[in-house]
Amino acid sequence: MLMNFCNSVLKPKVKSSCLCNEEYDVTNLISSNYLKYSRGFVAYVVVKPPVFVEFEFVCPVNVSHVIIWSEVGGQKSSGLELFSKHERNDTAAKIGWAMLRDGQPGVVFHQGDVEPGQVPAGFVCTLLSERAAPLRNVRNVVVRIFKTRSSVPALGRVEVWGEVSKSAPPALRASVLQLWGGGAEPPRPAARDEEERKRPSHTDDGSRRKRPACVVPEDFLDSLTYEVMALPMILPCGKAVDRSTLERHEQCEASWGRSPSDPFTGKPYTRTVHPMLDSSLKSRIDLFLLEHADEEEVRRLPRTLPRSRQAAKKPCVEEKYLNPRQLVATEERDDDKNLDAAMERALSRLPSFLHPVSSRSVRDPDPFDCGRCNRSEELYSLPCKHLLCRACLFKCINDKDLTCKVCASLFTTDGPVRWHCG
Amino acid sequence: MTASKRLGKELSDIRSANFSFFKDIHVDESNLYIWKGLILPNKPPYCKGAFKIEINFPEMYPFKPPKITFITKIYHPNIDEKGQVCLPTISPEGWKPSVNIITVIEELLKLIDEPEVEHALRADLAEEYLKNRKKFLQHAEEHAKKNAEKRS
Repeated sequence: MLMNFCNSVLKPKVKSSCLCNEEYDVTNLISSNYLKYSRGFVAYVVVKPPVFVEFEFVCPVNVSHVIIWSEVGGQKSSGLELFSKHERNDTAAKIGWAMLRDGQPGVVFHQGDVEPGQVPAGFVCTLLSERAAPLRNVRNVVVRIFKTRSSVPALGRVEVWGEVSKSAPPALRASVLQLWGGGAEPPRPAARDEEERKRPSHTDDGSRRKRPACVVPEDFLDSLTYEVMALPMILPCGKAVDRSTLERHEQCEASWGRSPSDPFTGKPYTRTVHPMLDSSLKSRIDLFLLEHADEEEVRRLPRTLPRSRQAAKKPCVEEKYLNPRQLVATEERDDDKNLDAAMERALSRLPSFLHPVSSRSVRDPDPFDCGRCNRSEELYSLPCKHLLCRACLFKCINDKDLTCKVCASLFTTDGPVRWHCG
Repeated sequence: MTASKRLGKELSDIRSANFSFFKDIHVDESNLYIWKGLILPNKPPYCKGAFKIEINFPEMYPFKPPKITFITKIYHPNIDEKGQVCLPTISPEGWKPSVNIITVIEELLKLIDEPEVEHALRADLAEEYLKNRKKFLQHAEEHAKKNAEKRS
């Protein structure tokens, strides 16, 4: 059965001959943490080729093929050599080399029997050394980066596929098989890629689920009341509080005859410096509430979106802070399955949302449109008080048809006056 | 009951901080709005005793300030016979919702250690404090010995 001996489940070791870039340590290549694993290895900025990256495996391996992704962002290693070390012999023997051109993100070293599905798009295929000896009972594989494309030596990902060597003790062989997945059917080459990607992220997911759900992240809490925020507003001083908190603070300040001010610094708001809705925080809070919607703790939290019928009902913000429009809409609320509509309703409390909505709703029976084409821009008023747009007016004058399209009364060319709304 | 989250947080903060100057905090779990605790001033003449105070949080907390009253009698120009304190931080007009109770207690200690005669509630004590400091200190210490709680 083929296994990827660089996978973290098989506990490989890795070291490099140079310093690594801080975030891109060479151990990323064998990390079980998906974020680190996907970051890859980049050498320290001043490092120049050649650079050796050496993998050590748990058991002697009969190498079948090696896949190397040689790009990390803009960093690309373009010249690669592959060496192997025999179990009982510490000298490295060269088993392959490759030069990569632009548009070739990596290389597959194989033994001639490679299936097309195994090769990622754009990859170069080269043969491993014909002399088969260095490919059997391999304990270490060394990647030598001898050329880069005017960048720092880097490796995105390395996979060494092979089988446990026959020379390995049976106990070791069994434990390796168990680590790989209890001897289940071998990962298919085509599905392998996704599987590889999924495995670390799965474990991530699992640990996140297990976390006690009622722990609400600190930054979702109002800095004054420590409640979960429904509409987080970011203050000039940088702290976030809920909109209802802000309104209550303003009320209290107004009772002393003061203008609205930052509750932390006491500085009055100005036209440019005032609280703003933190929409990214809002979406993070909503996502959190959505993910933990089943928890009893979360059900009691305020929110602006309608909740499911089963959930306990409690008004999100005190009712007087809600827009009257929203109160009217509560009956229809439950039937509403459309997230966009719900979001719009929630946001309609904000002034910026009110205007376009209200102006649009009065648009239909609008008498302030061109009598001919219903356009509402560049209007001219005729002596009979009906309107024509500029384009239609020119057309009428060109056609010498000086009659109003609404009431058919005649007008002269000096009759129409520019008309402004309101 | 909007203030309960904030009060719970402040209570756990103050308990975990374990201050030397504010101890024995008793809060009825069913009513977080009334706290009782012992204040331990660290300057003479009050450093010999401990003083029991009660903090009353309004329902509108943190938008309205808490009220502090001394249960233990204290001989101090800024604290009257009923135990009421005049502290600018928790006056209704000077209150800021961002101020937490730890800051208030620290202010209170500062006021106890250094009386502010300009804002005195007991004019007779203020006068004594200004004109005959020795006598005032003596009176205050005697009063504290007689009335104050034990520090321990």
